[in-house]
Order: sequence, then C-alpha cells, then structure tokens
Amino acid sequence: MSQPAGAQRVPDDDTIQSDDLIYRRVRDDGKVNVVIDKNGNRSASSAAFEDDADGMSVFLHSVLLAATLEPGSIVDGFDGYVLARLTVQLVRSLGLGIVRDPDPPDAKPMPCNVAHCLLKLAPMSITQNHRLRQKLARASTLIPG
Amino acid sequence: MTPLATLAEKELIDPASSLRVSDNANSPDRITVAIRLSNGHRSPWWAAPIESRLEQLVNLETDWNSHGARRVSAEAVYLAVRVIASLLALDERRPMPQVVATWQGGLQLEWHLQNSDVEITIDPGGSVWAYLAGDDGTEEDGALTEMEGKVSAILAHA
Repeated sequence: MSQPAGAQRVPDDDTIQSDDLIYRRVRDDGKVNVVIDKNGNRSASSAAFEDDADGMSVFLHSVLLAATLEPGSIVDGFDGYVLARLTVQLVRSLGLGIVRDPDPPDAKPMPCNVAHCLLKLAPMSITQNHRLRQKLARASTLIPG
Repeated sequence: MTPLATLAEKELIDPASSLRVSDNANSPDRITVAIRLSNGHRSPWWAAPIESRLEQLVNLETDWNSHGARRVSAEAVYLAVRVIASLLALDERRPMPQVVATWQGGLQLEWHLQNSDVEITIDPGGSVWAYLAGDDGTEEDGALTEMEGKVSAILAHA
C-alpha cells in the first residue's frame, strides 16, 4: 500500500479505493471540537481526530451510496454534529490504514453503520500523534450533517 | 462526580489569587469555575470569557463526541487556567485561545494566527504539550515547559 517507507505496517483493506471519501462525526454545537481558522472559516479542531485503542471511527462514502444513504445519515439523531470529510488517499499518505468495521459494538444502531470503518495508526509518541491530528484537521472539509 | 477537593484555592497568578472549581449548590450536577483575585487585585481581562468557556466544557457529559469521550477533568481545567494566565499575563494585546475538549478528558488551547498555529494540549493527567506550525511548513513540538518562551513570543507579536 502507499504507506511511507520505513513506517510500521498497519492493517489496511486494499478493497477500499484511495479515491473514496470518508466522513468523521464531529461535535459542533458550542464549538466543542470546531474552531475558527486564521481565515475566519470554521474548521475541525485537531482534537476531533483523537483515536482510541481500536482506531478512529469514520464512514465510507461508497458504502453509504450503495446502501442509498446520504452522508447526512451519519448524524441522524445527533443534534449539533457536523461531518469532517477526507479522502482515503490522504489518510494513507499519512501512514494510516483503513479497515471495514460494520455494526461496531457499543454503537447506536443506525443504518449508516454498514459503512463504518476504522482508521488504524501505528504506535507513536504524543507529539507525533499531535502532528498527525493537525494534518488531518487541516486537510478535512467541514460539511453540515 | 469529579474530585474537587484537591483543586480548591490553589495559587493562580500570584499567591494572592485563587481558582475555584466547585459544585454548584443550586445545581448539584453542575460544576462551576471561578477565577478570583484577592487583595483587591483586578481580575485579568480574560477571566470572564475563559470561566464561561471552561464551565461549558467541564460539564460535558460522558461520550460527548459520540466516540466514547471521557468527561473533561477538573485538573485539566485548573491547568488550563494556569497556562492561560502564564501566556497571556496581563497583556491585553495578546489574543485569547480557542478552547476545545479532548477525547481523553483534557483540554486543548488553540491560536490560529496569520503566520502560525499554536496548539497546547493539556492531558487529564497533568502533562502539557505545545505544538507550533508555521505557514512555511515548519513544525515544532514538545513539553510546554521547554517551549513556553517561544509560544509567549508568538502571542506577544500576534
């Protein structure tokens, strides 16, 4: 795959196309995870891209379409949330992998769960992780749910 | 409930000042944040908006981001005030940070300035990290204790 040379290999599903889009749910109300950038535009904070032990939850655009779902279905019932949109190519270029994870445990049952995926990160230091999160935040586009 | 006993009446800007993070007697489930200077000192210009913002974030419920986030810890709130007090001091020309919550239960202070981005992450356990990014693509990061001078200089010239 397109991981940087020398990087630790992370799980990556090569049936997921690099030109596909992914969406991450971001808490917007009260600007809990949304900031105003230097150009006066709203953008996702790097804090919106923290991962837990399993990985970082995202939803895959092509699977949503195949299920005749709109991206907005990801925030159905989540008042005050928006979506941060990225390309799979971008996350792979940063050394992340992506794997399918439909029907994630502990998640609210939703039709969009069929498109749920996890971004996988190699172990890294706190500062490396912050640099990664900043790049994800800068590259993302905030769209209404 | 967040443990509060260790946080009350700690020194803030100088020995005559205090930060109180406490239960609200009128609303037991709500934590209040108050930055106070004693001995007649004027409150810093940033105190009121920062109090309001921190109070909003420390009262977020568990799983506030739908990805399993933890509640913001009172210790992170205390540290955030310490950091803001140190970086802004009493210089009203310095810009206030945008404050957001982190998944782990900490806080992040962000300044997105014309020539640089400054982000300071405060872990719930008490670690404080700084990240600087210039518009020329340069990046620098490390413990705030090692980078405070640089961050302060950027804010002073913002």
